[in-house]
Amino acid sequence: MVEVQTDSPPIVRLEGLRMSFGANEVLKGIDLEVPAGRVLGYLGPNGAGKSTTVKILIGMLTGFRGSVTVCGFDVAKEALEVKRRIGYVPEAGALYEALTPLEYLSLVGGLHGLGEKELTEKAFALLKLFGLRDQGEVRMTTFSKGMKQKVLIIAGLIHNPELVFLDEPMSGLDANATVILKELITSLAKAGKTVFYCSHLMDVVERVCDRITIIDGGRIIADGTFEELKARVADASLEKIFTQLTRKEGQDGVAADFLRVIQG
Amino acid sequence: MIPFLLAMFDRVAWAVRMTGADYGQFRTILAAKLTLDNRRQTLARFSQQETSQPKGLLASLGFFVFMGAFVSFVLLARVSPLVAFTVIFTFIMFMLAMSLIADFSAVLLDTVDLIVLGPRPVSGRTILVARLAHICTYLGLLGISLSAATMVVGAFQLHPLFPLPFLAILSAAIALVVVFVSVFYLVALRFTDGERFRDIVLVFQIGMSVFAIGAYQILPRVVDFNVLERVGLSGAWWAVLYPPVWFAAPFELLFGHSFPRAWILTAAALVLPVVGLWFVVRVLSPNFGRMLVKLQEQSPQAEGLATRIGRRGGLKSLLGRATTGSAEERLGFDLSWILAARDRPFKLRTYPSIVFCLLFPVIMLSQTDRGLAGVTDRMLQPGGYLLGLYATALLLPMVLSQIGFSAEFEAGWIYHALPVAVPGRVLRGSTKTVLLRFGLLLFGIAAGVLFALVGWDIVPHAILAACQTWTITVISSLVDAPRLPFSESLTMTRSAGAFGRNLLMLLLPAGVGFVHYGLARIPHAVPVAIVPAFVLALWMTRRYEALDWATFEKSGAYPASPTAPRITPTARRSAAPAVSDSGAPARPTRTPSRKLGRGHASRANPGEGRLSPPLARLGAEDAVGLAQQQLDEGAEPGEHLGRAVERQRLDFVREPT
Repeated sequence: MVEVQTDSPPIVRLEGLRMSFGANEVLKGIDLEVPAGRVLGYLGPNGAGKSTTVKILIGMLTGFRGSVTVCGFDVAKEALEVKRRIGYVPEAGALYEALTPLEYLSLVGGLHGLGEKELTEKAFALLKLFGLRDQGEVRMTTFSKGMKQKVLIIAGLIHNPELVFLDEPMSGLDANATVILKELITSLAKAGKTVFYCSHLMDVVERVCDRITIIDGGRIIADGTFEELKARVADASLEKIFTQLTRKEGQDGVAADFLRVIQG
Repeated sequence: MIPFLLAMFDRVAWAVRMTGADYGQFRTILAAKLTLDNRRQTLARFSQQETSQPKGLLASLGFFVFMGAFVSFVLLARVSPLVAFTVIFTFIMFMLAMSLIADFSAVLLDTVDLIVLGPRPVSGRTILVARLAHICTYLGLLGISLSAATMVVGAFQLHPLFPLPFLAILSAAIALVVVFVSVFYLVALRFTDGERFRDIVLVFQIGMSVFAIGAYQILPRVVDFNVLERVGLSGAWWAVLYPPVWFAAPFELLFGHSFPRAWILTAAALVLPVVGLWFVVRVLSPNFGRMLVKLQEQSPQAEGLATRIGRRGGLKSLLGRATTGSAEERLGFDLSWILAARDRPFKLRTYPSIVFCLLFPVIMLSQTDRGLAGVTDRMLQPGGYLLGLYATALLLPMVLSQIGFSAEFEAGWIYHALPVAVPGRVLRGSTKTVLLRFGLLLFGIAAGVLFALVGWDIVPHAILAACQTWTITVISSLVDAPRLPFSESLTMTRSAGAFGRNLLMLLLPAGVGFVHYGLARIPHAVPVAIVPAFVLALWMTRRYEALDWATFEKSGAYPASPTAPRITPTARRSAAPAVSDSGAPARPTRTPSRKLGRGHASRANPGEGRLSPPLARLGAEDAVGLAQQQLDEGAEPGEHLGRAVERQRLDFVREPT
């Protein structure tokens, strides 16, 4: 693991994190430190254990082994304190579609101790910024995936958390919203907040992340700045680096095989 | 059942081909539709939560046979054939119309058709013929089930060949019902948008459920067939306007006495359905497709969808602020309050019971010989008004336990991601919603009616009963498996201890009622008992604090994580333990009783699905399973496609961790 020089204390610290579901060990010892005010790109192929890591970090998933400290609190013992300080935008997160965005944000924000007036003002302002001003009082039944994702993003940030977990937050967003979110991630870091960003969008990760951690098979296989990774694998784009590092046996001919199968 | 029906169609494949349809495709579509019917949760089984039983169609037909048997007894009564068959056809046509609207709407107005079949090389004619054959199959099965007993009784009682003319007239009656329902749909769709149309359908569904539960409890006590005999259906002018009389007329001609109008009525019975069908097909249905499209595309701004802004400061927020003490409690209160009013499947599960709860005291107290007059007298006895006052206590625990379930249960991840210190507080919030939103109303009605009947004497009893109802409701949710509001799948069964709990919830109100009954006999005991009862209620309400996350975990509730791949029964059965547990980000402590959608077996196996493209795996079984899941979960017609397709897509995007 590559040590990252840092002057601030780590806001996330994982030591020997292991997690199993039944006989299947999903995380096989993850050691990771994220300094405050940085954007960490957390990458890995499907099934590598990204979402599991995030769910453990935010206190949604228990039963892990190893030590997990977030915002200075031990997640295993003080999950509540952690939850108070973080924001979470889930991957493909479901929400109660019978609610309006405003109602949903009130419910969520209420638990973070936001007052009704402050909440409504913030919610409307944020919805307006995402182009949902007119839909604030409309039930989400008719919303497209991108519109719901915008509501989830707002819900994860409305309480001004110091650490934000974004799990594939771009899914369903149109190009404009994607640009806004990219800028937002950078601005959050500038404002001293930490962003823990899981994604498959290599070009976005390449651009917004100060540091990139790649996991595969439940272990960290690469960690460092984009430049460091480039130096290690000697390739120009993160996508190429990623596939080089995580490719599996027999992956090469898949596209050709696919074609062969559908052609009978 | 389905192979049998399909084999029947195989026999007449030539007839299908004659219409210009492709029989192979026709058969595939019909098989899929019948499979869906079989899995659909029909109203006859609406209370059952197990939706995957393969004999669904058969079971619900069995229920209709059973109901039909009750009605067929009218043939044994000493009434004229005209009256007997008027009763029988009233029943059959009513049930058919209600089923068509309540049960079959989802199928008739199915827009998944358009999405699943649209991009496939199937001709419009094949789809149309398959659709018609499907509707005819449904109506035929339903009609025959409803009248099976009548045919048997008639064959013995009237003539061995009775079923033959009866089937002919039955077909005409079914055709007329189709005409009526079509007109209803077209009018309803003409004047409403999709959301409100679904609300109308919901009203019918609830009405149908109430009828199914209560009809033969109440009707025999209220309706007297001899009254029908005396009003003289053969002569009264209005009888001509009542279609069941038309269909009864030929049987009066065959087995009774001819009367002047009989031939005209018989002619009407045979001709009008044909004319009506022609009218529907030629004049009305060209609009139907357009109407269906309208159902599907509802503008977000459509009326009824936009929540009125003025209500934000309304009753909910007033009561919420007044009764809840913590943010968690407020979350439970607000969410339950809003969703209880909007979640259609929830309403469908609870409202019939609520209506029935209001009728329950009347049914319990009514006597066959004295009719409704006897009810009032009995209500004035202590046993009578206590029954009225405690009926709410029987109902509220049931409503409260239903609040834990939702088709959108996956959205419940927020409870686990948000800073919820004591989940019991969320539960307490939703208990307060149930008490205030449903309890206050129902109890208020019961107490109001009794106040009108009994007067001021009822007041101390009502106050005591209100406190007890409160306590009973709280106890019910404390002993139940803890479920955060709208966070559990309906198909999920955590039945351990359910029997004991249900028994307790039946006995508790009864026991408390008996204590109250005893107190009523001691002078001044009831007013004095109010204070301790109130303190007990308050104390029980505090007990929610003890429901912490550890308790939740122990009971098998676990984070409904948004990306959790579903473990299906099939996967469990077919896969080795290592595989069936792989990649499920659930707590290891959870019980293996989770049952979810069918046809997703491969999803639990992370190695298998990764490379296959979504569509390749959208095979018939998966598509059926998915659409079925939508239906099970009570999704409305317009929502099916989008969600089914989106979910399917999501499932493939999701990684197994």
